[in-house]
This record gives sequence, C-alpha cells and structure tokens, in this order.
Amino acid sequence: MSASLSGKAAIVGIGATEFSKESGRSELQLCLEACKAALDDAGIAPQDVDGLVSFSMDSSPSIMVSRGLGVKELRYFSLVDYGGGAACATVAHAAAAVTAGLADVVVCYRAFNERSGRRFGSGDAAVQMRGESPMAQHFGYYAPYGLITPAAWVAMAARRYMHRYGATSEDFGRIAVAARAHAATNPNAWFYERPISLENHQSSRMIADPLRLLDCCQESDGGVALVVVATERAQDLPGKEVLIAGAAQGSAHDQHMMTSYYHEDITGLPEMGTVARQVWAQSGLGPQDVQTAIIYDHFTPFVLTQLEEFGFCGRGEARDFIQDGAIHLGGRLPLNTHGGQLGEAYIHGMNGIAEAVRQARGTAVNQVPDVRNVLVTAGTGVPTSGLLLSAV
Amino acid sequence: MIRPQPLIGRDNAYYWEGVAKGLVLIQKCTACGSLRHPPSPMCPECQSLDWTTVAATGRAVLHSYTICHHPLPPWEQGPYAVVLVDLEVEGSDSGARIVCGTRGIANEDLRIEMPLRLTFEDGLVFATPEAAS
Repeated sequence: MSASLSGKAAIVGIGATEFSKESGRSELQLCLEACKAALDDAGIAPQDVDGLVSFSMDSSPSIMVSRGLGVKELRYFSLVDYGGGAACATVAHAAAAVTAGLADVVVCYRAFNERSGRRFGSGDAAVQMRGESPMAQHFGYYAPYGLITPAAWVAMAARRYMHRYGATSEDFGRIAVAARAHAATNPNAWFYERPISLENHQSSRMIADPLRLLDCCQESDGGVALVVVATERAQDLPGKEVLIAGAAQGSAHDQHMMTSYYHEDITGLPEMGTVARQVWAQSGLGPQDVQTAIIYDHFTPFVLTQLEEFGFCGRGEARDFIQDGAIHLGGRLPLNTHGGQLGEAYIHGMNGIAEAVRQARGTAVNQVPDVRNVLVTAGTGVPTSGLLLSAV
Repeated sequence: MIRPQPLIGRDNAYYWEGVAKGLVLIQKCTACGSLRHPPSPMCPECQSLDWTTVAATGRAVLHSYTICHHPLPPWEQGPYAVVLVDLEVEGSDSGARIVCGTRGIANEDLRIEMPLRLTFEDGLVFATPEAAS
C-alpha cells in the first residue's frame, strides 16, 4: 500500500456521443462532443483542462482536442499503446498525473468511426501491414495464413481453453445472453429492446470457430470521455465523484499482440493477472468486495478467463461461476450492466468505464443495489489495464 | 487482394529463408542454449545477442486451431484452418511452437494433440496428417 495512488484521484465527469453505425461526422468532432459532455457533467469549464490522455490508436491529436476545448495551456498529454488494452490505463495515467501534480484536470478520451470507417473486424489492417517495423514483421507470421482478424486471434486461445477445461460454446453464449439482456433495458444501447436467447447464440453463424457471430462484439461509431481530478479538488465540484481505488497496467512475460501463443499454457491471460494483483494490492480489496464488474467483452471467451485471473473463481471454473443467472441483474456478480461491447457499443472499453462510474454513483439504468466497488477491465489478448472504482 | 507475403527484416530473415528452402529454423541462443520463437535479437533468458539456428524435424503436434469462416479473404475458397503446432526440434527437449496453415486434412478432422507433419508450399509452412507425407 505504500505510495499507492488509491483514493487520491477521482473520476468526476463522464460524457459520450450517441452510439451508432454511422455517426455522420468526423472522429475529431465525436471526440470533442464527448469531452465537452464529460466536462459539463463534472461542472468544469473546458478552459480549465490541462491534461489529455488517449489511445495511441486514436486519431484525434491532443493539440486539436485542446484547441477545440479552448484549453489555455496543456501541461500533461500522453497516449497509451495496444488498442483496447489502453482503456483503463488512460485513467491510470490521469490519476498518476493529478496525484503527482503534473496536471489538475485531465480528460481521457476515445472516439472513432469504427463501423462506418476502418473496421477492425475486416482483417484489412493485418493484410496491409508493410515495412520493417517489428510489429509488422510479427503480424507477418500470421497474415499469410489468413489469421488476420481479432476474432480468429482469440479463437485460437479459446479452442485450447475448451480442450483443457471442458468449456463449451454454450458457456461462451451465456456471456452474450447476459450482455444482451442488460442492453435490452438500456436505451443508449444499440441492442436496446433486442435480447437474445442461448438458442439464438447457438444458431448464429460461425465467424472463427469456435467463435460465433454472437460471441463477437459490435463495431460502433461513437466517443466517450472521462474527467479525472485529485480527490481534494473533486470535493469542491457539484457532481458526485467516484474514487479510483486501484488503477494498473499489465504486460506479461513473452507478451505478444493478440497472439500470446508461446507460453507453455495459453489458456490464461497473465497480463490481466498482473493487473489484478496490483488493483487488489493498491485497494486492499478483493473479489468479495465487488458488487458489479465491467469485464471487457470484445469476444466472450476472454470474459471467462478474466474472471479467473481476478480470482472470482478458480482456473477453468468460470463456466460454473456464470451458471444460473449469476452474471445477470440480481445475480451474485452482475456483469456488463450497460450491455457491454456486445450489447451497448464497442468504444474500445471506454463506455464500460462510464458505466462503472454510473454504478458507483447509483445512477445506472440497470442499477445494482448498494454498489460500493466496481471492477473495470480493458482489452484482452493485448497488454492491458484495469480499474477498481469506489463509491464515496 | 492477394495472399499477403511474409514481412522480412534483419531480425527474422533466417526464418523465412529457411521456410523457402523447406525448413523451419528455430533461433537458439549460443550462450545459454535456449530456443526462442518468434525471432528476437536478444535472448530472453540470458540477454546474449549471439545466436544460431536449429531445424525442426518436421514432426509436430496440434496445440490449437481455428476455422476461419468470415470474412473470407479473396485467396481462400471456403472456411480454412489456421493451426498452432508444437514442433519437435533437433537436439532439444523443449521444442518450439509456430502458427501455420493446413494441407491434406479436412477442417472437421482436426483434433488437439493429433500428430502432424510439416510440409512447404509457395514459401509458407503447412501442417499435414502424419501419414500423408
């Protein structure tokens, strides 16, 4: 617990655009709309922002975001690598910055036209990689064989997980059914009022065996922003702050990008284990202290693995843990109450952090009773991050 | 869109040059003897920059696989398998693992732990049933 940032910084504002399949405007505009909404929620004038953090994959440069917001002087700006693994890390970097005095008001943002623009699921990016960069050469071990989509990269690990632990496609399907049940009662979700059954999941077409269509998150257009300040400052603001009890990044031994296939055992997510150990140590809390969790759900199988890495259950036991409605509203650990990226929208994990803030504030549309702590995780299969948020 | 070609640089040229000659070469640290794949200029075990290569014997065991249905790249005619295989390596107990395609085996016949052999085609590596070669 020494020198921990636990409790020293808070999320004081959340903002988002609508979630769609074709936003009809630029990624920079989506970003600015989300940032302004988050600052309005926080009760902070845009001119008072002095820090910006985003994803290295984001197309909106901090200086253009800063210009749009009318920021007087920007003192802290950073980008986090590795796709959706960056989501919770943006808040970790912001918390570190405000705790260390490098900035007072940091906005974390992610905005894209991922459905109407460049679709991650198309495989084009992997096929079109060229040049001398080590990452391009790495994807060159896979692209010639057609291993080019995020679904297929995850499927390789999921198949081995099924073999080792006896998990089935139906076990993966239960994650999707819960997400879509929650999306069905969230008016902001793309799949509002459109729940699915396990039979729907089982009859959905194969994408990358063993992953079916309904194991895969959506592709979405939209933006989300979050405002982070020191807890002392948060107390002077009009809104309800949510404390950052734990915030951490993780990358494992012999880590690769979506293709950590070279560990003796590929059925875990050791990078998320690194995040889990830090988040629990920083906060002094554990799985029993969490009332609801936002577990990154680009593809259903890794939700199971993450539950295991955080110690909600033992290795290979997540399929039992999620049975009988345990992860639905009213269950022992409701997951992805906004509908997740399967049901609400795929905003690279940032919409999940916003939902965690709502749960800790007590303002979620699918509110879990008596929420004290919410766990949030970022993208899996890549170097990743996590947050533990606490109600004040 | 044609099938992408391997991307070759200073650190991994040996691998693709080997494949072009019908060999899977695995990097071996000259200092500590450990094997590593994918290629890296530095040994993760002892940080030595000195390395050589050893050849895979061609015998392999299926570690995992996926059957890709969608999106179907234009160079494929239907659902195709991509496999992760554990390779036997000359003079090594630890072996190595690579990703490759398949030849001569139906997608539905793939079983984790099944024995396979490596075969080579158009500068790429494929796994094929043990009896077929």
